[in-house]
Amino acid sequence: MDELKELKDHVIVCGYGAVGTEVVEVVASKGIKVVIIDIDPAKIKKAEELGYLTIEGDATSSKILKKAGIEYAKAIAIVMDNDAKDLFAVLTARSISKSIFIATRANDEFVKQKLVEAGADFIVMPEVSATKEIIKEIKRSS
Amino acid sequence: MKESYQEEIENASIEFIIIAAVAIAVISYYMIYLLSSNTQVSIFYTTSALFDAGNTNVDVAGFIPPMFSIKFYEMMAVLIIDGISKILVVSIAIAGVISILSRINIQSRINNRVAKHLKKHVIICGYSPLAERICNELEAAKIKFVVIDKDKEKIEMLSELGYIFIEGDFSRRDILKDAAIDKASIVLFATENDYMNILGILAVKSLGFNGKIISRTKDENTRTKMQRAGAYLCVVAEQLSGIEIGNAIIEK
Repeated sequence: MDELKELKDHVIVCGYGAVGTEVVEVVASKGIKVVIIDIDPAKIKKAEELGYLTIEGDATSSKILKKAGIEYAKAIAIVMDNDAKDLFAVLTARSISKSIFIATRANDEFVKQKLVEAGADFIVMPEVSATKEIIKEIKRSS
Repeated sequence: MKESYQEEIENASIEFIIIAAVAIAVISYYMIYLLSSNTQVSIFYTTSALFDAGNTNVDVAGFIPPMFSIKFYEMMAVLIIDGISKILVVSIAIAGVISILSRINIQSRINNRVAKHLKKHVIICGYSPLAERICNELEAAKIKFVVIDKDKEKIEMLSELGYIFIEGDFSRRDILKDAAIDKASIVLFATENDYMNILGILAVKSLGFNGKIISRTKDENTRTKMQRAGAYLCVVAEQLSGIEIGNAIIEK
C-alpha cells in the first residue's frame, strides 16, 4: 500500500488478460514500475506471484484509479477485453488526468472511434495486428 | 421449410415450361386452323412460332386474305397473339434454363475449376473477420488465394466479392484437394475456433503438404499444440496487441 503511494512515472495496466499480460511483460522488461488492476482474484494472485504491484477492483472506478496513482503515472493501458468497460475506464481516466497517455484496444472501427472521442491516445485492434503479422509472413514467403 | 418451398418453385418451373408450351401450341394451332382450314399451314405456323425454325419457302400465298378485309384483321390478330406467345415461350424457356443452371450450381463448378489450376497460392480456411482483412490485403498485393468455407451466407458474400472460393469443410481431404493444396504455398486457418483450426492443420499435414501452415489461436497453450501438429506460425492476436501497446508506452 505504501509502495503504491510512492509511485511516480509508473504504468497502470487495467485488465490482466491476454493483452494485459503482454503489456506488463514489455513494460516491466524496461525496468518501469507497473501496477495491475483486475477484478478477478485469481489473476491478481498470479500477478502478485510474479512480483507485481496489484489492486483488486474495478478499473472503471475513479477511486481505484486514484489508488493506483493515476495522477502521477506516465501511462495507463486499459485492456479489459470488454469494449464498454474499456470505454468507461478511458472516460474516467481522462477526467482525472488530462495529460496521462492512454492506450487501449478495440474490437471494431465503431468502438475505436468512440475511444478516440473519449480521450484515448493509442488504440490497437487485435484483428489488425494479426493481419499485419500474417501478411508480413505471406509476403516474405512469396 | 424455406428451402423446400424454394425447391418446389424450381421443380414447378420446368413442368410449367412444358405445360405452357403445349397449351400455347394447341391454341396457336386451332386459331391458325380457323383462319386457314389447312392442317399443313397450321402446323407450319405453330412450329415456327414455338421454335422459330419455319421454312420460309412454303407457299402460303393462297392463305393470305385481301388487305383490310375482316379475315385480314383476324389474321393480324392471330399473328400478334402468335408473336406474343413466342416471346412468352422463349422467356419461360430461358427462365427455366437459368433455374436448371442455378440448381446445378454452375458458379460453384466454375470456381472449383479455377481453383484447381491455381499455383503458389494461399488457401484461407474459414472466412472470419480476420480472413476478410487478409483477403483485402492479398487482393491489393495481387497474391492469388482461394477461400474455403461451408457457411452458405459467407459463400454468397465471397461470390459477390468475386473471390475464388470452395464451399465445404476445410478439414476434408477432398475439399483441400479441390483447393489445389498440392500446389499451394501457404494454408491459413483463420476461424475463431481453435479446435477447428487444429483439425484443419492435421488434415493438411496428412496430405503431405510441404508449404507453410499459419493459424490464428486464442492462447499460448493451443499455440504449442498447433505447432506440434505442424503449424509454422501461430498468431495470438491479443498477444500482438499487448506487445504493440507495451512498445507505444515505452516510447512515450
